[in-house]
Amino acid sequence: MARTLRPVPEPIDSWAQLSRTVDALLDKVDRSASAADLELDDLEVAVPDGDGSTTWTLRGRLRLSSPGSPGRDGALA
Amino acid sequence: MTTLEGELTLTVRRADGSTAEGRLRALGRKVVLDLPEPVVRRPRRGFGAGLGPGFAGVDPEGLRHLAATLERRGLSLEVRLGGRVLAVLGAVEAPGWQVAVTGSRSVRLGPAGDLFGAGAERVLGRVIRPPRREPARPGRLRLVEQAVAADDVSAEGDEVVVPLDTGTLVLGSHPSCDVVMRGLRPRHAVLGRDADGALVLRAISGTTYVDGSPVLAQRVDAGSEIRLAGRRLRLQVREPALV
Repeated sequence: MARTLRPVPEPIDSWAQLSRTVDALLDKVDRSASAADLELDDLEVAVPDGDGSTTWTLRGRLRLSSPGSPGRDGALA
Repeated sequence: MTTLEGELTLTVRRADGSTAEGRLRALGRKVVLDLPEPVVRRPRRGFGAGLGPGFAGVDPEGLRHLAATLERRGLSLEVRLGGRVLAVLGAVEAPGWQVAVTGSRSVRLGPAGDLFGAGAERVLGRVIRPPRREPARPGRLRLVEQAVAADDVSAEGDEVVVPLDTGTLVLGSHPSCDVVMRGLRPRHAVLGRDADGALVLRAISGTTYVDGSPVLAQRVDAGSEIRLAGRRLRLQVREPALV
């Protein structure tokens, strides 16, 4: 089984913060040379827009695999 | 290099309480974000925000940062609205004129049909709109500068006759431009036609307004008021018989 990542250590309230979070997540997977399942259960991301802010609620699962990981069928953590 | 696989559902709740549903699918190094309708309404900040009016409400700097992050990872994020490609962020190569608009080589705007076509309002909200009037008819328009000295307009005193049937017309301060005007960027904007044959003004590297709204690309016609930097111009009908 791939390990499971459950974000997020801090609130995401800007596009820049979202970008940093994505970067850190990918970096973690790259460095560990492992596959990981990113499980989101109603993760809320508040991003500013022209009228104030919109809230993006995400749910579902993404498998993240680095080159050294077994990929979609694989284990490792 | 990291690859992704899977699907997320997305609910966007706007400040006014309305919602939109979408989904994010990932396969390999490509991620596709499908949205059925615009999630950002009435962007207030204009072209000067640096990423173009269609993105003004969504923090251009943050978006550029996200694009750079994805590019560094060899990933791309394709954003679709109503099945049309709005933009691709990340591992893409944007054409030069788009880089001048967005400030990022890692942000490629959607194809012309999406940005300039009749569905543009649905795609990008109010900034790039379908024409308020009928598309230009065959014939000629003239581009007239208002309330400024006309000695630096390159043709016919205070007006430039715009050929409607062929080619494009580049406006800028560089001598190689078709219309040379002081105060503009070297290559500021270009007037041409879209796939439907309608006249379209596209920004290249300078602030560009049509009828008071900042635009990236906008259909124009007789009566349209164009503002490039501090210069105001108006398109006027010039019937063939009068040319």
